[in-house]
Amino acid sequence: MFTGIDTAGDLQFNTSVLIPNQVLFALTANDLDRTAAAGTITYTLTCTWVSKADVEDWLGFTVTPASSDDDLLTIAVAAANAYAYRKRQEAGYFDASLGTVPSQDVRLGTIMYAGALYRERGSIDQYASFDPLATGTPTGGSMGQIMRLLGVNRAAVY
Amino acid sequence: MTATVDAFRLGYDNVVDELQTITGLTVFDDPRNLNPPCAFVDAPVIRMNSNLVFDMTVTVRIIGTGPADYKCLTKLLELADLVRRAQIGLTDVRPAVTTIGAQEYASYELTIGAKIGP
Repeated sequence: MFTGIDTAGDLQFNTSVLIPNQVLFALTANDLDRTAAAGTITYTLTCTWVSKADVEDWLGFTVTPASSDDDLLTIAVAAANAYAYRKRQEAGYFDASLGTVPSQDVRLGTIMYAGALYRERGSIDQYASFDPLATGTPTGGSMGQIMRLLGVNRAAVY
Repeated sequence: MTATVDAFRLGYDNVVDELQTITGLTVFDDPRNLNPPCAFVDAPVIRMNSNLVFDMTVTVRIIGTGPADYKCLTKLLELADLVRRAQIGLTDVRPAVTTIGAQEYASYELTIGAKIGP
């Protein structure tokens, strides 16, 4: 529980009183007591660590603009960005920027995941393939490498 | 007339050399070096007409990347067509799965026939 501010301006807490899901905010006015707020906090994170062009480089081809493939690639890139940020957040990383990827291993992991999602269109447990060429490769086969590059899952202590 | 030394190996190397002159086609003759999309020249089949002259059939595997979807197929056909345009004895083109080590690749098998003599 928040108990006030010391003379140095540091926040003081009574650690024997735990209040879960507590959000502390500043009442920006003069000479106010602590006041409980009512309401709902909402926030939206839009991570843009990798782009469609990055994924096209990884896939080795470009998709036709304004096509269903292009729509799917847009969705796959957005999903991979959101997944990478969320999994790293869950694993205890504090990534400072939603717009700039924290490191190149995270970048490649995110690109690979977007590419895998794009390739999995129409697939369930194996990639949809032409019959004489089918290798029976399972979908999700890259996940081990992707998660290593992202640095997840690891035990996180909060 | 004496038989050429190393005729089998030279015949194979000549086919590889011809393929490596094709612009836009990366050709490997060693499975350790594969870097798809590419062409891999497999071990030849040899039929002797005499001790001096023989027919060599070489299987060239056009190897693609990723799952065998439409993008992969079109890339394989593009690369296979480069071999046809080179006019070096292509007789057969068929889809296949190529296993290199434990890795399976979507591929096309191209059969190239050559007659080797002294």
